[in-house]
Amino acid sequence: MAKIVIDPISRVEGHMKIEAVVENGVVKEAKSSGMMYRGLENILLGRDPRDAARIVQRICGVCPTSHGLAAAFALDEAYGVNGSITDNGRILRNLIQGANYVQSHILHFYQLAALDYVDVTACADYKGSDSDLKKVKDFIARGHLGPFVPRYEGDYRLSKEENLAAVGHYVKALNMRRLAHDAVAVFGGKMPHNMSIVAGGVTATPTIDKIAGFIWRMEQLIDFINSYYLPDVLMVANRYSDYFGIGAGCKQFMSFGCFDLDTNPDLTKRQRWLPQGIVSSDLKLTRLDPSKITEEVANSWFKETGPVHPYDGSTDADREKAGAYSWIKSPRYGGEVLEVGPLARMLASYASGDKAVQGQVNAVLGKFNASPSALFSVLGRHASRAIETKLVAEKLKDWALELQPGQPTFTDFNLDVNSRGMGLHEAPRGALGHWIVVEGGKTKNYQAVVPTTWNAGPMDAKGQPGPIEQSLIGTKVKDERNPFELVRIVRSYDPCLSCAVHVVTPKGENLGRFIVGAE
Amino acid sequence: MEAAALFAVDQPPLLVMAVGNILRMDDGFGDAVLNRLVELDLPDEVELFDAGTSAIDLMEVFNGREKLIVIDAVRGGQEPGTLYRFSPQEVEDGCLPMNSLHQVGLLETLKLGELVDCKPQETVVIGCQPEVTGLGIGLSETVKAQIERASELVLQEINNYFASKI
Repeated sequence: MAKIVIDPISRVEGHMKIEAVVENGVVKEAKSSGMMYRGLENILLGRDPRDAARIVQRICGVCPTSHGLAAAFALDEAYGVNGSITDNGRILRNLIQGANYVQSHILHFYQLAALDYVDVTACADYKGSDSDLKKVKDFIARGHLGPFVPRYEGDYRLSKEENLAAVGHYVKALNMRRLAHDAVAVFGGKMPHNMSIVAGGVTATPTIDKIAGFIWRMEQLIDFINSYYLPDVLMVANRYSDYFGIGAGCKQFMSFGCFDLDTNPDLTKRQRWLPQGIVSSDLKLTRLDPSKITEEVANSWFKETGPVHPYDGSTDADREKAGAYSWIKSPRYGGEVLEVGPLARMLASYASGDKAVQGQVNAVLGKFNASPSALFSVLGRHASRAIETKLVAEKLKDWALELQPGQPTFTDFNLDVNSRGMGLHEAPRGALGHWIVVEGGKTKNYQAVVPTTWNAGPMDAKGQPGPIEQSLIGTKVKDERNPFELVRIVRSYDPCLSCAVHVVTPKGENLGRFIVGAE
Repeated sequence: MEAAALFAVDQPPLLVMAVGNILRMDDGFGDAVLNRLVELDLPDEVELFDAGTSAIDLMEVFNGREKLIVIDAVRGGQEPGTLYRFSPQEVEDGCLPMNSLHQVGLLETLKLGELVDCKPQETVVIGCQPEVTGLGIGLSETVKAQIERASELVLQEINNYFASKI
């Protein structure tokens, strides 16, 4: 029996640790731990509730846009404007979030995930004339391996030509991500940490110039997604097709829904282009009931509360708690474990009968003679993310044309309230919920339940492991020194620990030789 | 389409960028220095930018600059309040202010930027050893006391830049 500890998992955002107990080459037990403390909600208490849409964006630098929007949805309800967001405000929010999906998914596949499958060292002896590949070759020659290592060795299966092409696309993707980031900023204003998403709508105003600039950028991005991103995912799937059978997980999914098409004050009934709901393993979609959401801390370093709804949640650390192994809580839905993310969203759309999603998903499955259950896998998550990127980018172009220059983007409201608000939203990496309690015009309680909490949370009081843990258990590990299977599984979820948890132990180096004398 | 044609570059040549998380007390050092600099009447060639915590997004921000001055809390193993000045080339990989909350940190972003010709010609980091980085808004007294001196160091860097142009 061997214990594999991967700490930290590189190329995930934040500090994550995986411990897997392997017996006869198969994972028997797995523990996913967030190694950073999170208690940022406490900062919001007693403040002006509107501050939440600014402060939550500082939780981390990966999904500030999504946190800002989730806070805005919660504040819409708290201030009673959740039924009266203007069309412009609604559409602008969709465009800002949608462009952020595109940049996040491109970054995830090329810069974070692809290096598990693509061998960058194939460029070391490159003799051709492609300027991007020559740059990577120079990079390697100078010993600048920073972004490409540490890595495991022994299971890179692409041909030399495929590796070279993929590395070229890695560089191209850096530029495309920049362009998508530019597109977020068109209506988000300053980036990172945009200033335009507020309770009641958006402060940016649509002009013909901005609309044209946004659409032009989306056209370049759609071209990249169709010509490179989707084909590259299929190329990886072709060489690593066994990963359609690896990393299944809990096979139950949840989406809070994203991209509003109306302003129904009830978020569970609001028509969203990516629908909300719970998807079962036989692809049945049922309605979302947010009152069933609880968080448990049975195996987390927090004071024991039992399962509590986020409105009643607390964030009191207890580092000495016996048996605990993570700073992440365990969210549950009616006591059930659920996976969130692009796979969950695409399955919800698929199950709801969305023809565009069904067409794309069936085309991918058809290429590999696979049934829909093959989607519950490492490759299913990557394929879902790529398909979503394409469909979102195309939709954003249409929505941008629905903007009406000169029409209002913001609805005003009364600040003196005693109320509550729920912000259900989807960040690129999954379901994101913010809950606020307002008393006397101040924030009395605030809780954020983030996607990686759902996916990377620890075992609950009933002994049910979290989704990533379930994905790991039962996995065959060919080489315990190079546990490719485990990092590929974890990375397919696009975990982001930065907001699930926060840093406690800094790694310091001595920089004494750079002291600037204090005069 | 060629990359250069996708990005219009029309921005001040000198960028002063505050990095760090204002929700982590002394990690808000860069932001505090930036707020001090905002009060001064700086030339048009200088842009002040609050970068927050999103390193990878900064590629766009420092693209095309002649000089980048980064202000950040730096853990360099010295007494709290110690000020540092160094360039990314002077420190080994991994000892830059990589305590940012990101795997794609500032140094990696600068490196990745090289691949897409998106790197400032010169980069210098002005850092301060933090005392407390727990959750909360506001600096410790020790770090607060260095805002003025750090602002002077940034101004010195700005002067050096203009002197090199003459």
